[in-house]
Amino acid sequence: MRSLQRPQPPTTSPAGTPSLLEVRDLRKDFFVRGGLAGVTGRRITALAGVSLSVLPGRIVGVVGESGSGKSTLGELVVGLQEPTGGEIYFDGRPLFAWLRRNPREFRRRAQIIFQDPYESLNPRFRVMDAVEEPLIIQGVPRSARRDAVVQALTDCGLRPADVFLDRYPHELSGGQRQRVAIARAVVVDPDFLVADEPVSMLDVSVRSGILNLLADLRQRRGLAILFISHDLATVRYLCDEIIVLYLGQIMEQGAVEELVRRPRHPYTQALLAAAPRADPDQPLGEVPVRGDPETRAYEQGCVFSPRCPHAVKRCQAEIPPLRPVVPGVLVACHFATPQGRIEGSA
Amino acid sequence: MSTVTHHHAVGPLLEVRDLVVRYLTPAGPVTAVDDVSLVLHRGEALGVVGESGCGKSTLARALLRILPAQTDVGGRVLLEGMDLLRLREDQMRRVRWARMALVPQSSMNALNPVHRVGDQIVEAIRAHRPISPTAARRQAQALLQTVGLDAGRFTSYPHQLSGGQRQRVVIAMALALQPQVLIADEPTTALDVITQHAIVRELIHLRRSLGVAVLYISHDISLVAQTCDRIAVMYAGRLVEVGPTRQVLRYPAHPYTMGLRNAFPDLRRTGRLISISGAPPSLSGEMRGCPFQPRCPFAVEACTTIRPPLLPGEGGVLTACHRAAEASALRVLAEDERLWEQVPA
Repeated sequence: MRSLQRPQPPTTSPAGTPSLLEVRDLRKDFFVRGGLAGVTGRRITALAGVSLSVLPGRIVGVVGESGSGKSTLGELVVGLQEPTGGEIYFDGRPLFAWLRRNPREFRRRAQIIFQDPYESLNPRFRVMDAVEEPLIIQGVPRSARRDAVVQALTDCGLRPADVFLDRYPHELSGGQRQRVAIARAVVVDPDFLVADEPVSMLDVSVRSGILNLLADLRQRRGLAILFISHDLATVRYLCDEIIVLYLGQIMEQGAVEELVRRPRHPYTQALLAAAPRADPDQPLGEVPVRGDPETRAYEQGCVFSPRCPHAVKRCQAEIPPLRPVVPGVLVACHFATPQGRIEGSA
Repeated sequence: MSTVTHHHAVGPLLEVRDLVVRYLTPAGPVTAVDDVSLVLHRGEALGVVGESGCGKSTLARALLRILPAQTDVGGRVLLEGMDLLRLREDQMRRVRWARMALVPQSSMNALNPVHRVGDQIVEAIRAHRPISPTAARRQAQALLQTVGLDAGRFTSYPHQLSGGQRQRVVIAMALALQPQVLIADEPTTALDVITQHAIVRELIHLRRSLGVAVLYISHDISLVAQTCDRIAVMYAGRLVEVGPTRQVLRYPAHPYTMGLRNAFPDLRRTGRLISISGAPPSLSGEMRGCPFQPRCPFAVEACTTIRPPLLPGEGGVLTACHRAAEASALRVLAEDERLWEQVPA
């Protein structure tokens, strides 16, 4: 295992609000069997030392391409996978000790929704059954369950709720199904939700309704959200902060407006340049990037350097630490500047 | 004969007239494409946008006649005046690929995993053109370079390439016989943002350099906005608005287009997004009136009974809406979120 430079501690609020979720140096390796007899093993690193924090009621976006480790990160922080290294604290308590001692208590506080509401809902469960199930697990008495389900459905925009109670998933539209999945997650009144690409399978006309719903849930219930997406425009719309992941490492993180207006990491710059704009007067520009996403990263050095147009020898030899470049913005690039130029690499 | 040729040379390259596609299912017919008429000019890029199930992929497949057997197709598809729907299958085989080629969504299905990609291109060329293997091989290598790949990729197997590289190979194959029309059906859906951008740029570049006309099928308005001269908006099997991209996106006259524009997140815009309540109608059975009427905040009595025809309005845009004449007033109203909430879900 190569040594990683310790990243800077994640940003905390000026008031010093304790984070709801605190992740330190998180690492996840998968071992895949290779070779004809399956004897030679290969390690695939999904996350290589990621640190972040989510404050109560904040929406943090995780952006990256496929293979960036963003979905793995989402599953790790709600305990659906075990990390290979690093620490996760939820509400100040170590996650895995908590999960071993009292999984039910943790599940009440942290929930996850996925891209495909078709898969996350049991086709044989009516809406009532699906949304009621977490309440049964939490031991909520029968007399209180129906009201809670109706309230959750109503909050999730399925109105009037009683119309939906007896429906099966196949009787719902894609947007309604995702609303049911969200209702199922928030019915236990959690304070943290991981939303893994929750709108990418939905049509444009209903997508924005789901984004607005998540924003409303944060507003009304103080729900903190880790919003995982490949789409910067969506993240910009919903999130307070962005974390940009590339091959399991954070390239840049900070306030949404900062990153969108003045991306300081070459990868963030490329992602922004490549994002389509619904503007016929804006022709597709150049994207400052080389190669393909599958381009192998160097064993040493910056993982983005094989694709980086600014990369020099040093980038292949030395891992750039995630360092503050301006207050509140951390960038993992040797040559990032506050102005957004990549300087001194030539 | 010469006058006929001349006439065709100035007319549209591809003209679709009153196209109707019905899938015959055990549960009854499903009208996926409902009376669609449009033209594609030489060298033009026309984007067809719409949500899943709106019939845009069926439209693409109907033009190439690659629909499943249990399908009723009516209307006309005129390629330089020749009605493709009247051709025998062996005649159509000479049109497909050679004159009108498809870039499909998934490159994995389009490429044979056990053959080297170069050989697959050579095979495609030689199936249609009487040329030597050496000449075909040279052409294939040139094609790979045309789509931005190293000629050395000739000997790669599909699994040795990245998703973006495979999609480039698929584009090279589609271009192999120098078609006049390229039908790209969501060609970048499976790709990452940066790769998508590169492929789309490649398509634009090829259109310009080779003069091939592109019918670009997409659910992503922003991709079409930046690449296509004209845009056709499809809803529930019908075209609801067709016109120059800039005009349609700046000044939409159909409420569905207005709704789409409200719903689309844009990096440059910060206002609140507004969704369109409800869902598209079922395509089985007879539909009366306007298909968007149940979700439309501006619907009036006529919308439930009379089907609005696609008629020309401002700025060369065709719109299928009874209230298209009031479009500029409706556009202002359409910015109010409360208006869109009143429609029952």
